[in-house]
Amino acid sequence: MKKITSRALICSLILITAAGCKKLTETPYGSKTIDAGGASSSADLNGVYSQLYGQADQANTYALQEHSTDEMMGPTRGTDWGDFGTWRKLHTHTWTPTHNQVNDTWDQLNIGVYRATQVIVRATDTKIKAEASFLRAWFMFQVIDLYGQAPYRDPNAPNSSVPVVYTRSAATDFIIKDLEFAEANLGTSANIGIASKAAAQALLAKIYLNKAVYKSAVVGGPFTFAKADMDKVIEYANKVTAAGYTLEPAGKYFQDFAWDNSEQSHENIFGIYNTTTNAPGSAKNRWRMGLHYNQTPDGWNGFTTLADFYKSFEATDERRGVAYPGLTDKIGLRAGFAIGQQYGPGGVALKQRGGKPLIFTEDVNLNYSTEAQGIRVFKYFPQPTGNTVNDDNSSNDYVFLRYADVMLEKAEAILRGGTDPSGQTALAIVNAIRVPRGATPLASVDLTAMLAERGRELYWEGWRRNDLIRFEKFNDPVDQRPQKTDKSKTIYPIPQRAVDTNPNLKQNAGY
Amino acid sequence: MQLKHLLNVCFFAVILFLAEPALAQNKIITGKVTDKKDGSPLIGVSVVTTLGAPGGAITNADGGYRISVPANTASLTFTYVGYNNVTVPINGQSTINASMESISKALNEVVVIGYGSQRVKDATGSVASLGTKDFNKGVIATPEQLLQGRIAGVQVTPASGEPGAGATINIRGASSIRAGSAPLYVVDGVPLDNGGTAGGFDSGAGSSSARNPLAFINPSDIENISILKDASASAIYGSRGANGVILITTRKGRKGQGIQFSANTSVSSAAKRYDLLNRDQFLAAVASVGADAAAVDYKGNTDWQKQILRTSVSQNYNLGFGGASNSGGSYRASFGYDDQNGVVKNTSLKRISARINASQSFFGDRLKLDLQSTYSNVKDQFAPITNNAGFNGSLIGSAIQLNPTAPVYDDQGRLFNLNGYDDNGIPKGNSFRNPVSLLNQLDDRDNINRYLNNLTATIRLFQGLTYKGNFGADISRGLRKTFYDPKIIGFTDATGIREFNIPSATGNGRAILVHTELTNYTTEHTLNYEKKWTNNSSLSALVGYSYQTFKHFDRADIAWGTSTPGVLKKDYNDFKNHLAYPVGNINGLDSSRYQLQSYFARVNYSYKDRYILTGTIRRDGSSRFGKNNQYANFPALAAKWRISGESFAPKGIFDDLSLRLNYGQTGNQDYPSYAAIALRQLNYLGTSNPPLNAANPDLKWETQTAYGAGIDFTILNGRLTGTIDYFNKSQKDLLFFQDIAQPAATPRYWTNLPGNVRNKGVEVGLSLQAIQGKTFTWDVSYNMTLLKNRIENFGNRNVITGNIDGQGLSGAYAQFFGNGYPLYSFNVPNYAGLDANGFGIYPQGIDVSSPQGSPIPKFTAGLTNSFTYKNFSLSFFLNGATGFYIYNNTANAFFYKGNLVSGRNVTKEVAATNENPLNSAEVSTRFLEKGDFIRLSNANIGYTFPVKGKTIKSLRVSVTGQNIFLITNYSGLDPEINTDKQRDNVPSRGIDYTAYPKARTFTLGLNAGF
Repeated sequence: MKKITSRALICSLILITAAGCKKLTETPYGSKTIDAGGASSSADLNGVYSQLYGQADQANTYALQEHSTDEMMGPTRGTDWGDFGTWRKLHTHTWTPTHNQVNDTWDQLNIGVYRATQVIVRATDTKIKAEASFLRAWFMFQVIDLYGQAPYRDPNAPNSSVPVVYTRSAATDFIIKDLEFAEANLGTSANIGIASKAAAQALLAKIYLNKAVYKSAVVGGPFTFAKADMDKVIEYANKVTAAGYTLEPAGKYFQDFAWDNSEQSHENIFGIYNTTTNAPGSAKNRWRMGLHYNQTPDGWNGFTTLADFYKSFEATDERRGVAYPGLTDKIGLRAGFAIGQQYGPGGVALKQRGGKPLIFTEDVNLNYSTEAQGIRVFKYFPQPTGNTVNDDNSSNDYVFLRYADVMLEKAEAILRGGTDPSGQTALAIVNAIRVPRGATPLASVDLTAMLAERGRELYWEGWRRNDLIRFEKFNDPVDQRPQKTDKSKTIYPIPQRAVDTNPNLKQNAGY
Repeated sequence: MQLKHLLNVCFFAVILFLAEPALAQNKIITGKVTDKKDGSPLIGVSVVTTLGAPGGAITNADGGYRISVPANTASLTFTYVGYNNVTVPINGQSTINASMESISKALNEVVVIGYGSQRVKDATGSVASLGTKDFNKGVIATPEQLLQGRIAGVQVTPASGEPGAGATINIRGASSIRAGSAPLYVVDGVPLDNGGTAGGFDSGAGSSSARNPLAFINPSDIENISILKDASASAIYGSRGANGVILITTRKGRKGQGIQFSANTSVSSAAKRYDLLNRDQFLAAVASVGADAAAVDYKGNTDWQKQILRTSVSQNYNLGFGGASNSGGSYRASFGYDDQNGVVKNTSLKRISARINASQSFFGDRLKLDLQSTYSNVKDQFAPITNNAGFNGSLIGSAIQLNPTAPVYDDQGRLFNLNGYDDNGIPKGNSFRNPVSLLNQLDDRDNINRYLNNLTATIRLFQGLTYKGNFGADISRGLRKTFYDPKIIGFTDATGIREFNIPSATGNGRAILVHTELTNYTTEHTLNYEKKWTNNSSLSALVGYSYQTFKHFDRADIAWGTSTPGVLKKDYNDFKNHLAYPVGNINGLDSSRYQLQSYFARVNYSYKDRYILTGTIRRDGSSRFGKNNQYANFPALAAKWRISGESFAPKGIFDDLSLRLNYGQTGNQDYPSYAAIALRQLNYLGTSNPPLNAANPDLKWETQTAYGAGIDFTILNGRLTGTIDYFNKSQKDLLFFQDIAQPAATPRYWTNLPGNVRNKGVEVGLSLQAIQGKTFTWDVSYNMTLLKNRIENFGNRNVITGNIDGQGLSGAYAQFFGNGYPLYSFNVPNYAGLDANGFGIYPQGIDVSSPQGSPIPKFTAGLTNSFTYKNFSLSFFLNGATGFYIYNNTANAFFYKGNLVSGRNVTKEVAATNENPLNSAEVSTRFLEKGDFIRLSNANIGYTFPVKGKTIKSLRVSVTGQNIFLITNYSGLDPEINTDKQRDNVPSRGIDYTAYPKARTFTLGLNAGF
């Protein structure tokens, strides 16, 4: 019996062990691959660029930079656009560390920083490394601009490790170093979607202009602008000019944003390159977020500008709004600001959903607006086909850095004590921009006029918050935010989720 | 080859051991012991000369025994737990057969457990078993509907009323935050993967919930469903046991089974509709909010709910035949046809299923081969009912909110579109959807073929030792085809796939083919040793090895640009533009493969049938686990003390009284493959290769530690049996897709969170034979569950979920996971009615949320009453639940005065309030409602004809009603609802959003045996 048992057991054990002990592995299929390291490829680099596409969305980075300012708000319209208060909180400066867009923006930007770092660390090709350096600077600049501190992770460290945190000041130096490397190693590029030497120069000019803000020990100012930094702004602006960028000729302001801006623009330096077959960072959200449901194309009937901002334009200023050839004649939509009765294809006066005329009005209530309240803004607009629009793939390039912005930065740097080697004055630069746009030349320019001009030129392009903070006007009362807010609001809180996962992050003061 | 060789070796070894040692004895007596009731063999009966004497024999699988006794022995005594002892005089015979009478049926029922079966009296764990007679009747699309409400501790919540809809099944509560909480399904020994069906492709109407993975099983093929509720029972399934295990056993062939035929015809209609304004009421209401009633009067008069709902007729036919030979063979073949039509137009489930179960013994039962083979074909048709549609709504949402003055067709005979048509006859705009357009201009069907095959070889190596080899293949091939007419109204948005924009369905049409291929192979080897002693002690031991591979292959083909706008051709090749796949970029969707390798052992020792001990251990390795944690151990222990077997136990009260104790660990590994490794994914054009997943080499399973105690009793001569169980289980290492401290490659990665989820509760199951007369019987069974669910040691972590969708609700959510609260607790601002101006009052502020309650019922119960009178039978089943909340997202999205301003319809109730039309759609307690309900969910009346003919052996007709009435204060359609409102893939619970309405169904059934 004993013999039998042991033989049976041996037999069974053979069976079990022979069939057993398989090695357990996972092999991904198709488009998925295991990241095994190795030199960075251009596809890996494009994986960093893809992190920019979200900045063409109406939410997150764009919303944080715009809704908190004097040129945009997202009113709740009855049952529409309540959206859990996310837009209201941005306009009223009442966001908290758990605000969804404060969270998501943090992730989007920092993922950009990490992906760029990974490409830089693994790169064997200088151009790949230089483009990735530019992109890392771009994302980290946004991080410190919005949040005032920047975490950094070595891409070889495990995901469970805790990133170090750079102060705003240290991160500024880090960004400048990246941009200097990029500037030295990049040339011209085929389209605005690829980082170029001029893009690095334009961003360097912006960083130096804001350096006083980022280096300041006091959040929200007052700021002291060093002459050396202002001279740097001028130096890099002049390099951009030397690269061949020019201002749009008279009456052509909107061709920087129109569907053929890839070919027509003289000003666009860096952005997202979109075509009719591939528009990964489509500008269509820019028109849909304001268009009423009954307009062509139909939109989401959302964001508006503020009446005071609209009133800062002269009637002759092209930038305030024009009938745009190939657009207004086909679908009734005008470029720029939309106020009053709106029209559709064939010049038909449009109605609201409830049957009343669709007349956009100046007055807006942040909590209780009707369908038609608020002035809309259409800086970007789609290309109509006949009297309809198919904006699935809209070819408008989405612009981040533009020559007029660089020139206004140069003018501001001169106002703030910098010296142009060729002796150009701030007033000359400002008027060189104003006159072709159909605005009256100014007799003199001071900081207040400078900020107002930046508003008129760069409205809804994502720079307003950055400008207001630099001019120490961010906390001033505006329509639907009657009280001055605390200077601590000039930086957003570190998201609660980030504080929870990284003990090196200290919550910003005031939150 | 290697395996085959080994099998040969073993086979010869078996032959060598066949001869039992011959014993020189005085007298050999053989015989067979059967059940007095039905003549079935009794296995494991002790045969002794006198009670308490040494030696003796035990009956084998056929009830046979062989005993050698001294020549002068006068009689043999047969003892068997749950049966009266029998003593039979020998009187010089050499063959003594015995027939024993059961004290209690319940104790001797056999329950299926993991890798085997055992009698209820030997079960130490909490195992619930449900047979055919206990199942819910009527239109049953999927097997879990058979047991809904019938078993204590098992909560089945259907996602909606759609035929074949998914269901949430929680056994003793949910224990995971992000990992799946569905139990493991094992069909005839093959553990399934809970996938296999494709959700719809989101083309702009929102995404649809996953389908039911069990839809391929014909419910009428099921003989028994066994549920392993506690860790001591489910630990044998290791890393997949934490959510409980549902073992499904299909019908086998039996002697004299013959032919069975059944036919059912059902009529269903929506049990409840929304009480909306009609044309005149709507126009009056629009005028009352200051809008221009004339401008929104489109001159029609349409009941839009009527346009999408219908009274549907369903049919079901089953044919089965089976039998068994005297030479150890048995077979059963069955064929089923189901044609279920939903109460929403264009929704149906058609199932054709065929099954063969065959068994044959060889070499005098030394070798037995069992084959279970199923083929099923399920064809579903879907209406665009989705779970996350925005302001324009899916089919249900658009029908609810649509202006009742809008006609179905405009004056040119085109489907009415508020935004009109362009010069090419293509509808404009994305803000309006016509429900009839959604029904007629969109065609969405799937077709799933599934083969589940299982071959088992059982070899009796020698007395008591059995080898079993189990080879299973579960193969599913699904294809879901969705076609959009270019003239469909309101789909003007492009759809992006990895940075590639597919042009809008409106204007271009669209065809989508989603291929879903699931291939799951199982290989298992087990050795089972059984030993019984005549003092009613027994030992049962099991060791085993299991290896499973799961391959999930998904692919989508997309095309657009049909040649026939306005005519839905349903031909993929008719579309001009196809999404071409560059080499190396073939798969559009998620494909994965994972492996599971396990070793397991179980010992069950019973001493004198009074003290029973079970120990289990399983070692599981999964390719899903991180490389630092690839193997896990799951031990369990259970004990049972049959108090009624003790001499001090009072006689004549308890037929049975037992105390059970159990402790064990199980795991949960229901999370995506590749979660532990760093992945990249190419975009559509193959130009960009961003990271997709961040690595976590330490990733591991969730571990559940559970303990519990139970009392089983039988009193009143077997007329009342009951089970009371207490359980307390705690799940740690919670799998979560957690934020990585940025900067990182992705926003989140898979990790194990600190903290644990605890479920504790009490289950009671009672079964009473109230009246057992000759002509009249009355049986009552009752079950109830008290459940408490909490997250513990979770720190300050606050995980949000429960998306609330609709106009003006982007980014809104209503649930959270937080320390000290139940899973999926609602967390929304308090609402205190409307102020004098008709604006909402939020005492703590419009943006200040506070915890409100949980969607998990604290108490659930089910009550069945069954009567027979002569040949009539009647049964009805009531179930109910209390102590939970439902969030009415449908009302939050649509039932506002402000909707009238925009020319959209609302309920009569909303129209009657003083709400200001500018009041905004805030998530708040305004839409959080108690879900308490009682439902008459199943009632059945039948008549069995007294036929004794040669051709027809039995004939029965019956009428069944399902969902006959519902008592609840919930204002939505039905509180038993669970629309999938996950956020960042964190599951939600208890939110109702434009769900498919639940049906009320009456079925006429005929059963015949030949």
